[in-house]
Amino acid sequence: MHKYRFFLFLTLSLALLLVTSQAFASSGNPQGQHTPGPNTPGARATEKANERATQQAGNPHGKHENFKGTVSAIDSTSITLTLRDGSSVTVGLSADTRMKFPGRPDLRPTSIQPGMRAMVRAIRDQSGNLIARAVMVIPGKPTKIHRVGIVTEYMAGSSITIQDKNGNTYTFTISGEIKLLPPERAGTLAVGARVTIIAPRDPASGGVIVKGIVIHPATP
Amino acid sequence: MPEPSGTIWLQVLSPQDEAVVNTSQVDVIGAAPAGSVVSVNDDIFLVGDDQQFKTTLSLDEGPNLIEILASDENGNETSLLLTVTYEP
Repeated sequence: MHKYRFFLFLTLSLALLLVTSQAFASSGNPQGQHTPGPNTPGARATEKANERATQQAGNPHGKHENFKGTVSAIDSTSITLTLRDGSSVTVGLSADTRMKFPGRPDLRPTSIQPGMRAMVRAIRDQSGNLIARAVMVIPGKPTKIHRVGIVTEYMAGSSITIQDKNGNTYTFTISGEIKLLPPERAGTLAVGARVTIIAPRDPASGGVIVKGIVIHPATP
Repeated sequence: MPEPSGTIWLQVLSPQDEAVVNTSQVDVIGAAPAGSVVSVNDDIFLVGDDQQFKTTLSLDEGPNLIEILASDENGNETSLLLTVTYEP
């Protein structure tokens, strides 16, 4: 009888221990999505950005999320942006991440440096991590310039040189088709004409190639 | 109201910066002083007396940059850089 009571007590004790350990185990977050980090402003800001990203996404696993900010860190695996509100977000980079450098074909992914502005289009993977689909660098200055001056040399189909109001001269390459505006003044493009030349800000290997020329009316 | 910047102003009515659109084209509508030169990416305009300009740009999927410059005959220039995301 004593043996029977002892085994009954032992069985009940083991069952109680098992139930208790399962209860403790389930009190944590099974998906591990929220891990309290250090209570620093940076950590809070990052957490806030991630929360906002999830809210913006609605469907965190299927919809793209867009972030615009200043690159604060980048390596071959991730890019971190500081957003306008001061928060930061880190997005993973992969071999499928498309890099865009508007107006700067000379740039490469390794050209992206902290301090540059960028827009990132990302999607969450199955683990909830943000993965960049595309990264677009936003140039600090427009990639084109408008240069106003008087034509001092003009070789149709080849080059045009102008002198601005400060006496600086600029020579541009004419290659291929260019836009002449307004069409009715195209015939007046010659030495002495006042023009605005639209061209890329950064010279290509063949010189600064004209995109378009606006011919202003002759001043009396 | 025009937005002053230096001695030339440039106003963009549409699209808004950081807009997300679901069409592959977007109308860029704005205003600048009559007689000024405006470029919108590769499009160039000589602004008429109505001070309006409008063009339609094709978008790539994902983020796109729209670069708008305006200048006058004195060489004054102002610009706006907008990002628009195309989500098909």
